[in-house]
Amino acid sequence: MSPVHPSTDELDQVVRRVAGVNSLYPAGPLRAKVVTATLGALTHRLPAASVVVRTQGADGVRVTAKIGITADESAGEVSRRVHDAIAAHLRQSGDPAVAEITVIVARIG
Amino acid sequence: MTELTPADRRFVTFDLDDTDREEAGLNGHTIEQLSDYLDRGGLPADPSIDDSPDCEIALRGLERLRRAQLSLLERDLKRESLRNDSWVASVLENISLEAHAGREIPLAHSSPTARLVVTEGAVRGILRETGDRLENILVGRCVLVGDVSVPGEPITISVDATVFPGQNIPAVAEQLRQAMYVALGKYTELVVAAIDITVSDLYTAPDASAHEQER
Amino acid sequence: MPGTVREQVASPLDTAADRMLADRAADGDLRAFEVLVRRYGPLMRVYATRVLGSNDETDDVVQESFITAWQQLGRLEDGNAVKSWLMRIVSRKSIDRLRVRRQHVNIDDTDAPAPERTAPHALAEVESQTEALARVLAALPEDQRRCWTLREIAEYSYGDIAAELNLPTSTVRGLLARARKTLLREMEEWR
Repeated sequence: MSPVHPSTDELDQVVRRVAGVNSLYPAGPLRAKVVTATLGALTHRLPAASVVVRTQGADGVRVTAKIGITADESAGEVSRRVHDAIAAHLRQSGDPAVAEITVIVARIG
Repeated sequence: MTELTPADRRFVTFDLDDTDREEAGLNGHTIEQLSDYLDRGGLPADPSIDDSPDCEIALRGLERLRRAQLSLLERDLKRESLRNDSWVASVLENISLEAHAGREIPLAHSSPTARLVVTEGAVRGILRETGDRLENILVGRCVLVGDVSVPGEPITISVDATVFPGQNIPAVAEQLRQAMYVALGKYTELVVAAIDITVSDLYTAPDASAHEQER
Repeated sequence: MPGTVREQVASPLDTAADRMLADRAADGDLRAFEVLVRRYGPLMRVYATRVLGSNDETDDVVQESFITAWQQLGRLEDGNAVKSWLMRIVSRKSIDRLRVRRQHVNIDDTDAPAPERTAPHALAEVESQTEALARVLAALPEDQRRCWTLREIAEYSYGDIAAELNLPTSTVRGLLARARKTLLREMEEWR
């Protein structure tokens, strides 16, 4: 797995702005989190700020977002919106090949 | 205060190292035996203890020790209970939802590169919330039975619940079942074949569990 | 949200039975877990303070205990037993601390310093039985104090103490007998 792409902060903002999302949790395996933290130390950014994990594999970009949602709508609706928002953001920023976009609803309400 | 009663007499008859001398001073018993006797509430009655003034003095000493032990524990518990709440917050800050996330339950999307899931922990959470919004019932453990990772695969839900006294249990359980179907339909894409509700015991009155904190 | 203490609104959960709370916490319910923390945290703190002989490490030990409890609650088969299960966890964590501490300290220094024996009668005037006991307990040799605390606060059986401390039951019995006699004698001194 290659290092986390620096633009994950933007993805955080993209996910947070989706209607129905009320919280964002650090996603992905511990290793990715450690890389994020190291990156944060290098660039003097808060490591906690990058919680959406983006990695670049041979088959394309992988993005994982773990979210909490409000109780107003279904997990399906909100997670699809989050997915689509991430996909749209990727298209707008270089349109890389996408291997997988994972959205995990970890909490409702 | 003029007469020297056994209660006031000094208790000096035991020895830290010599069991023989201890027994000699306690009518053939040891402090440990007397302590066990006290634990048993003096039952079955043993005349060689009950009728011995030396044992009586020792038993009073043991009772005094026990009272002091209890009041020390009460004092310490009170002190701890009066502390500010910051340690509770700090405990809760350091635990993560991760530990109880459970399995991943798929949510549909038309894109082949999309992987959308809701965690089992989130679904159990919404089932509990549903129960908590109803009156007269508390929802305990919720188990999703079946392979939740296969879309469209029928599963069942097994729920433990406690109903408050004086309620019509079948009616309250049915109300819960309907509310849970609605919640599952709203928040998940699971195909739920059945919701089995086990009313395990009646809700205990506040006194009972508050009592647990004492001893 | 994880990590936030909810406002203190009376809820049926506050008075729910241990099993209900343990089951819900095992399913990931933070609110139920918080009720357990409030219900048994003080006893665990008293216990840890007593075993460690000081307050300094109590926060850490109790916090670690609850983090472990949260992670392992799913393995607790009988939620009714959550109190003794929690006491076992805090007991283990406390003993681990003592072991670590011992690695840094000369073996001869591990026992608490002997209590001031010079003027017990003068002290008797001002010291209640409760405070006297606290002093005497703190001055017990470590192995005796550990057994005594497991017995009196965690309510362990002799066999449980033996298993926990990896000692023969006969040794535990002996340590407790010795602790009891020392406490009795010292209490007499302070009457």
